[in-house]
Parts: sequence; C-alpha cells; structure tokens
Amino acid sequence: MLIEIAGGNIENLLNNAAKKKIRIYDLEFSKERVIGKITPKDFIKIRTAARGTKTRIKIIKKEGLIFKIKPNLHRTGFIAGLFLFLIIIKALSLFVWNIEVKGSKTVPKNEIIAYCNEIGVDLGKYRKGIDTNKTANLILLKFPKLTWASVNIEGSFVTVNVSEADKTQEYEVKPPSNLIAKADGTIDKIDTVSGETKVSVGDTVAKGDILVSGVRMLKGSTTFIESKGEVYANTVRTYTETKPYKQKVLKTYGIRDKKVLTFFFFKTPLYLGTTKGIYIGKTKTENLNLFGKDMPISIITKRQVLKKYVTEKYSEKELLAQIDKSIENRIKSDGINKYTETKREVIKSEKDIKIIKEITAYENIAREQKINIDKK
Amino acid sequence: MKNEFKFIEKTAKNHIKFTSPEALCFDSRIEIFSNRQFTLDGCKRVLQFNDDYIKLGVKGGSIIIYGNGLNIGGFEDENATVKGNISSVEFCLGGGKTEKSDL
Repeated sequence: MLIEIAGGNIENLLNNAAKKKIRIYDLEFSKERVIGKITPKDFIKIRTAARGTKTRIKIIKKEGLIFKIKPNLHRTGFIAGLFLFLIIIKALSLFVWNIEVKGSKTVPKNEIIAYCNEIGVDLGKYRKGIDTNKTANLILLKFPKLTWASVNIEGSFVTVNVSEADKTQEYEVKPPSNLIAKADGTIDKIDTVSGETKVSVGDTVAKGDILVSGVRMLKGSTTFIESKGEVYANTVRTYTETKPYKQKVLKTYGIRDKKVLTFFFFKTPLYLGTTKGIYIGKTKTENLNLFGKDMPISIITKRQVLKKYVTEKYSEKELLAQIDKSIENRIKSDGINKYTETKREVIKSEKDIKIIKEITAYENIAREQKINIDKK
Repeated sequence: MKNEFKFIEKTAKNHIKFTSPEALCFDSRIEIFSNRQFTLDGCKRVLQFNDDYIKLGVKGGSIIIYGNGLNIGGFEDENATVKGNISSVEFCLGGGKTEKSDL
C-alpha cells in the first residue's frame, strides 16, 4: 500500500514505527509530506505509532489480494455458490469418472469395459470400494487371450492396462470331419490331403454324398481324423425366383438427430418428442476431453434414418432385372464364380414374374461336415 | 572538551566532513555504495527528513546525509538505508535531539 504522512512530527512517527517494528519503506519527502510503502498488516498497527505525533496518514493506493477479496465479502450468494461448487467437486471426486483400457490389440476395449461394468467397476461407482487386484484377476480369467492385466486408479480415472500373447503357431486338435458334396454333379478331379476318398473321377454324386471320409478302419480299430481336400465336379444347378409387380419397399424419407447430454449417470435429453415409425439408428458418443482425459460429461448423438413402407409398381423390364440380379447374388453366395447358363425360363402372370434358371459350373463341391462321436 | 555541533551549509558537496577534529566514537557501522546508497547500522532515530538532507541520530552524535532525490529505503532494528544522489555526509558530535520536541 502507498501511504502519505503529513503534518505534525513525521520523524517521531518514523521512530515510533521503527520501535514497534512497523516497517515503512521507500520513504520519499515531497512537498512537506512523506510518501512511503507499507504492508496492510503493518498499516493496521501504524495508528498506534502515530499517536501523539499529530500526523495525518492517508492511503494513496491499495495493492494486494486482500483489497480485491474484501469488497466481495458481502456477496454472500457468490461465496456460498463457490463453497458449494468446491463441495460438489470434492464429493464427485470420490467416484469413478472414466474407465480407460490400454494395451489391448485383438480383444475389443468395449468388451473389457463392459465386463468391468458387470463386476462393479463402472462410472459413478465409489472408487475406494474397487479392489484393483481382484478386478485384474477376474479380467484375466474372462479373457484368455490376455497374458497380463492391472487396474490402476489415478484420481477419479480407472486405467486397465493389459497385454496379449503374440500369435504363435498353436497346435490344435481339430475335430474329425467328412467332406460331403454340396451340390449334384459329375466328379472331374479329386485332390485329397487327408481322409479316405470314397468316390472316383467320373462318378455322379448327389448333394450330401460323402466324398472323403474321416473314419478310418485299420486292423480292427476305428480312428477319426479331419478330412481335407478338394473335389471338382461339373454341376448343374437350378435357381427359381418369383417377384410381384407391386412390392412394398422400405424407403428413407428423412434423418433426425437426437442429442442427449450425460453427466455421470444423469441424462438430459436435448430434444423434444419421440420418433414414431420405422428407423435405423446409429449412436455416436463425444466425451469432453480435458488434459488428455475423458471427463464424465458427454453428448450422445442418435442419428435416426427414418423409413417407411411404400408400394412401388415395377415395369416388366425392371422386374426382370431385379429377379436376374437376385439369382446372380444367390449364385455368388453358393461360391460359384464362373458358370454357363443352360436354361432360362420366364413365366409371366398378371401379378408377378417367375424366372427359372439352370446353370452348369465347374466347382469344388467338397464341404466339411463334422463327425459327431458319441462317447459312451 | 565539549564539541559544538556545527551545521554545515549544503553548498559543501561531494565529500565526507567531520565537524570535530577529535576522534568520533560512534557506536555504528556505515556502508556506502557509490553515492547512491548509504546504510547505517546503529541508527537510533530519524532526526530530520526533508528535501535537502536526512539527519540520522546515532549514539554519541548524528550523521547528516546531503543530496537530492533522497529517500529512506527502510528503517528498522536500528538499521537505516538512505537512497538517492548523495553529495556529502557529515558526522556531528552531539545534536542527538531533533528540532522538534521528542516524545
């Protein structure tokens, strides 16, 4: 604080102040008065030093935190609010604000977090009630791919550190199986790796016939092995598809975003009304991030693609194209890339169109079928 | 032998002057840094403080510091610091009382 001392016996005041250990410094004499600096604490005491000196002390400038705080002391609402804020922050800091997983490669982090929630490590839980060793052990038991896990609580944040084993060649006992035909056809080529071949080149097989057997009879004993190999055959397949002219089709007519503000487990919707009808929803969560840490404050955006059924009427040309495309997709899903169309029959009626398509293909018809061994 | 206190005019500048030829037995210690700072250890009181000089009382006498822009940097525990442009310092025997009444 800057003060001005005028009148009376200034020297006596300075001497009295020195005796009482009141520190006044940087004293300058100017125009019959002395200007100096003093701390607020010493200023309170200087009145006693000034007694009898007939000096007048005046404050020229106030500096210091106390002069900034004092005028606001009457603002009880502000002080109460500040106090309440500190209490709330202190109370909230006793709970878990966020759970983070570090070190996982193939095991999804969401699954680890979901499991943590199941065993009691969740947002909003009392953090001192979490047994970190027990939680780490439970995580290791739940996820066999993990070789090490540890749970650390730093402040209000839980970090689950894990590590996984490197993928090495594992010897796995594979279950015994047969190779069966997945379609009718005439065998053209057999390439067996393991198992007992039951068919020959030129044989005609039906769908479901055993091509390579995993059951081996040797010197009176029976062993079961995994059959492996490829059996190529010329196959004939027939596909039939019918579609009406008038079809109910699901069409998109709008998009609606709904936002929800979450604070711990409190959720406040930032929208009005509900969505009626059919929609496909997609959820996106954005967390408030401070100093590299996710806070328990987030906005969840639910994007709803609104759909409704609409009756569409197709022309003959459009309908034929639709059916052809549908049959094409079925052929691809059967694993046939190259084929020859041998027959295509179109049957039209007032209400619909039916296409019967026959194709021949050269394909691997071997399909693995596990052998169920009944152990008695 | 009583030494008279003599007040030397401020025109005598840039030197330290002793008003008495006798050895002064002041119980004090002085540090002078250039002509900018004067520290006196053993200062009992401030006798006079004005634009032209500062007179400090010590045991057995007084010390007058002349100059311009003088200010008392601090005065506590018998340690006084005078800052400013010091032109001369005068040592006086006696003169321990101020011109105004003491309390």
